[in-house]
Amino acid sequence: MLLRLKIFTVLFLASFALLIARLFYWQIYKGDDLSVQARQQYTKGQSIDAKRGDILSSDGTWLAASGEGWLIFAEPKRITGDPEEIANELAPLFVEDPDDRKSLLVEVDRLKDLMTRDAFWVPLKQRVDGEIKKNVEVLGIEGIGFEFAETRVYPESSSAAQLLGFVGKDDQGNNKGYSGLEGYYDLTLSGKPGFLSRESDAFGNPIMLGSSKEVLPIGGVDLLTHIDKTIQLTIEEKLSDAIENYGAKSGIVVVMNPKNGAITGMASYPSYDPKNYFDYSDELFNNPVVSSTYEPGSVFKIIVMASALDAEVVEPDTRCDICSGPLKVDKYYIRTWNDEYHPDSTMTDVVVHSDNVGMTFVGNKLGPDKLHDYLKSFGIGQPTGVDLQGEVSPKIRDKNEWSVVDLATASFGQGVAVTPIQMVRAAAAIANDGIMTTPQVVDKVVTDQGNQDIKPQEEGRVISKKAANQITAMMVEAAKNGEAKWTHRSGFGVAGKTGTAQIPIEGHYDEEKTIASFIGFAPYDDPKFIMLTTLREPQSSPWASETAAPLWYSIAEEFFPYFGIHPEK
Amino acid sequence: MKFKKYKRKDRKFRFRLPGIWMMFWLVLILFVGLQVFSAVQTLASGGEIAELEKKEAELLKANRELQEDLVKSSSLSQMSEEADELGFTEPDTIIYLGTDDFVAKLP
Repeated sequence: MLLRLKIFTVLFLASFALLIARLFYWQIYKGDDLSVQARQQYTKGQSIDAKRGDILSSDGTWLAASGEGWLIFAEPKRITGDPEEIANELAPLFVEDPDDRKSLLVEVDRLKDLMTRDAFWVPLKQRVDGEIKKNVEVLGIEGIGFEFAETRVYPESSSAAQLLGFVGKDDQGNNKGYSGLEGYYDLTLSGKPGFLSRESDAFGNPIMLGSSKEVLPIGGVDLLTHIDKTIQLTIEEKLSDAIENYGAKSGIVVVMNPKNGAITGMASYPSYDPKNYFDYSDELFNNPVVSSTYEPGSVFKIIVMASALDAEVVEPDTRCDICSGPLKVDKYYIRTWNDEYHPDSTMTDVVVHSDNVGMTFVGNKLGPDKLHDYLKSFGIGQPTGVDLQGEVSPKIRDKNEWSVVDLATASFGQGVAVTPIQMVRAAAAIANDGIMTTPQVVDKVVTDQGNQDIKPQEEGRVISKKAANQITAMMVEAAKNGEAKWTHRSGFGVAGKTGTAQIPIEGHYDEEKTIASFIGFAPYDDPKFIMLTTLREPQSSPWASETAAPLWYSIAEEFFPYFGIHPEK
Repeated sequence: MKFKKYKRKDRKFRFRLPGIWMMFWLVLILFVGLQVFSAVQTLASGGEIAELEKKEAELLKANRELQEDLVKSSSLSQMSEEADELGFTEPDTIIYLGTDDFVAKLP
């Protein structure tokens, strides 16, 4: 009996020792590893996306806003049905036109290929709206899931596309703004994502006594722009009509308040749909107003003449004593656009007739050094600083690199390259009594704590008020009595200038192709707007007086009542 | 068999000592029990939190949808199309009226 008791005692003690040893192994020796594994199971960390800020027009309504989008994905290893059947069910929901058999079949093949891959997760369709998501959900297909993905909504469709830019993805798959305002203000609009890490049970419910870490996301701020929707839609419509009527390859219209640099409208053609930017060529993403350069032609004459008037090397009634015929400069001849010559023209006549010989006279009076300095003052050769991504600035020749030919051609706007926004800014200085401002699209940054004004930036006086008034008077005469007088709206105080520039191709100028422009502001004594219209290679007529000028006036006709501009008494 | 002789203890002390210890153990058991109960309740509230988070997500989704509807309804181009359909047109002629400014004579 005692022996049995002793044996049982030994066995009991041995089992107990084994248990202690096992517990020691799992709790002490393997404790750290198991703790890490357990934490991986019940601790979940996820990034919380920050809402992207909206882009608002001047009246507070939306140009671009955050919307609900979904990514539809498939888990091929969980799909139980026939991938071809599933593809046939999904394809009509994904294509734009379900009646288009060809695109439907292409989509079916694409989906089938994705669902039969040897992968755990494949994206089927991105940026899907709520309605399509609901329709797919109703099908109840095993292995098909949805992931929320913020998308952009454009209530005005493709209006102001190049001004706004678009939201794509970066290398890590995060949202990123490209081009225009979305690109320039990407950091401001993006905000900062948050993070949530906490312990959860097997059902995914949070364990309240467990550890948790939460960093709240900081939403992106909204941008309140100067863009006026009425102006924007008007210029888009008129530009589109003009492209069709005149057979132009491309065109731009820019409207700005010359007193504070506020850009109230900016349109360009061709354009793209920012919601479906991936369907378009990269070249369309650049905003030609800030990214394309061209030789401005005769619209540039107002800059050169204004410089000469300010330098007092000419007066409005100074007579041109070389204007009786073509002028020989080096081995070239400078001719007028219509080969008509006006001996003893005044400077006003030179602007009204858009006389190249007269402008060469002015350029010679100024001299290359002074002309170079004035061009720099007018911002030619420097970025304007407009708040849009992608601005370029073609350089102007250094002072000591100007030949007599360069001086002559620059005087009438050839041989010097500008961007449209540079041209508008320079002309706006004339409209603003000689003071130049920085073009600006965004007016305010709207946050939860209040609005932050982005104040207009004055860049200083470029020419005297007297010179500004003199050149304005010349522009009024040019609008009334120049080659575009047939389209001038009599009674309204418009100051304007046409420009028909030849396009340089491989070291020479094309004989037929032109860039037609008109720049003007109204009313000339208290300008409410300045506008530049440009049409590239118009087919109906190469001349700005017959293309860009009528476009300008057709838009201005809508603007006069809108801005409360009435005819002069 | 030998029996140990036990002295009879004083009657007074026999009832006090067991009472204090009982109270102590009772309080301890109650305290531990309360702790366990409270912990279980807190842990169970994780489910409620998950429900509330689900409701929050639904409300946020509804808010997003309303916001999107608002954005789309503010479209000027859409309004312009609807105005055309309803028969609104732009004026053909604008007549500017000139007026003389009348100013009251100062006293």
